[in-house]
Amino acid sequence: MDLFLPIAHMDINIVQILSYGAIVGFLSGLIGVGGGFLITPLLIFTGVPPIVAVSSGAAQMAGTAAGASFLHWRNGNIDIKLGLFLLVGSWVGALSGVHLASLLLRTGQFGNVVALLYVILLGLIGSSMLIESLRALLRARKPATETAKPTPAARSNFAASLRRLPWQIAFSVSGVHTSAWVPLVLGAVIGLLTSIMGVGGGFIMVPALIYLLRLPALIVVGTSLFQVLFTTAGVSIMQAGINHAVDPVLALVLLVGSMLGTRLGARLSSQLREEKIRLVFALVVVAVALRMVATLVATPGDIYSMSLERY
Amino acid sequence: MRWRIGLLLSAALTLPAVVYGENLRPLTLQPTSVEIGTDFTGGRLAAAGELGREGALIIKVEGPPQDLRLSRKDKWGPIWMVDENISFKNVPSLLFIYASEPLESMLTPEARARYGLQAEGAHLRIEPQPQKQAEAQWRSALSRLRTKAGLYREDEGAIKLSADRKFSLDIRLPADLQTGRYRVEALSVADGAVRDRAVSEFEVRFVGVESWLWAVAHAHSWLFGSLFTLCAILLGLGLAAIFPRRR
Repeated sequence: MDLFLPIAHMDINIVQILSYGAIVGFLSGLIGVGGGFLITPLLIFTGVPPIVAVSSGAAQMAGTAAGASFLHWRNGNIDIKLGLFLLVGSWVGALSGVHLASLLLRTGQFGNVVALLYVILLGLIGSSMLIESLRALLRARKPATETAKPTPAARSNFAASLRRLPWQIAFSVSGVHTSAWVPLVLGAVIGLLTSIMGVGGGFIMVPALIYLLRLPALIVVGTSLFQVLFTTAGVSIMQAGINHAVDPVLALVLLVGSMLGTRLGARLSSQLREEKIRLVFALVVVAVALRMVATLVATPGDIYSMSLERY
Repeated sequence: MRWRIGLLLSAALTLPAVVYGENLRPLTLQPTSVEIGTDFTGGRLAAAGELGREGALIIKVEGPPQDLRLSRKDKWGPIWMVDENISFKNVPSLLFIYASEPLESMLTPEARARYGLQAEGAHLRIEPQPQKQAEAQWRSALSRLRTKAGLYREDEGAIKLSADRKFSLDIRLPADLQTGRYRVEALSVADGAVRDRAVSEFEVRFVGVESWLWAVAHAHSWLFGSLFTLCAILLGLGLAAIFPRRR
């Protein structure tokens, strides 16, 4: 069954889009990330113009993250103070990113930049998480006496260096004391990436909060979703306002699919060990990065391509 | 003075073949509008008319103009990157050419370009203007890409003339149609020149929710963005309530 997308100006198979949404929702439920890093490439591979894929993906993620972050907020898993600092940074980054996307569109380099960013970021994050997850799994298999626990000093080296930065603030819900510049800069980077790559930023936020700031896992997921909700909502509004690129039909079908997938993912996550969940996440990230590499390296069928000057 | 008027009248009467409207009856289109709704996967249109005693027939279907960007990739080390972009201005968003005979035997390339019967769009403006050799490659790419996208079609022999010189044509339109007024032009051709022409129009428009969404998304983009994002958030909350997570 085909569905016409009024902004992308193309017809697309509704089952295909629902299944994309379900895959993303599944990951969201399993790992606690928005899944934008997956939905944008999937839509681009299907033929949706990159700017429409990025913008509609952001709108869909706002909806997906709303439901999930509400539940985390009710369970007290969101560090609102940390989330607000992240949010201020991300909105500044997002506004810059939307204007940068507009400039890249005018110069015809938007697709290039998106593909390269996906390869670099997903490749780095995915491979480092893959190594970390495999190590964690191997450690878990060894007898308890042989398991080398990291010393507190080694574990908090980076956190200690962050404590030397100015504007130190205590984030009581997370139990972390760090510079306000850390969430502000982290948020700005994620906001910029949300505008250009259509990602919620969970795939950067989750490892950053876990590995850099050593936050508790549940607080990481809750706060990440809170930040994803408001960043993607901001990007969705700005992309619609500036670039006219949010396709409502596409976003709504993705949203319904993702909600169905989320339920399945959340069920499975309660039955899997954390190391395995991280391994699944890492494998998916690496797979998407490799697919993007293939897109960039493979000789194109036609070296010329065509697009509308404005949507 | 009288003899001059008489001369002009007699001259006009001796040139019936070149006076428009003599060799071609008005073109009828059915339907006269194409409506794009949620389930739109393409449209269909029937054109019918009658050709006079002489000549062959060309029918051109032309969509409203749009500006297109063409990009060319080149290899930068191991990867393929876009290294050049150009814009084609006022390109017909759709160009279908149907003929009763091979086009090459009917009109010269120059005449075809003059009547906009070429996918390469020899008459189309390019920005920035490339060098002559590169320009030919860009125009050829435009033709190839538009043909591949189903927005350019050349169908020689699609028009069948009956014994009484009547014709009917089935025009199939793709799903990704630009909205606006489309022009259907019938050209009567004889001895390598266009002798007569008849023009008709049809409209492609969004209907229902699509119409409203498209209009609001373009006319009030910030309001649309804010309201739609709010709807997505509320829908997300609602769906989360229907399908609760169990962690």
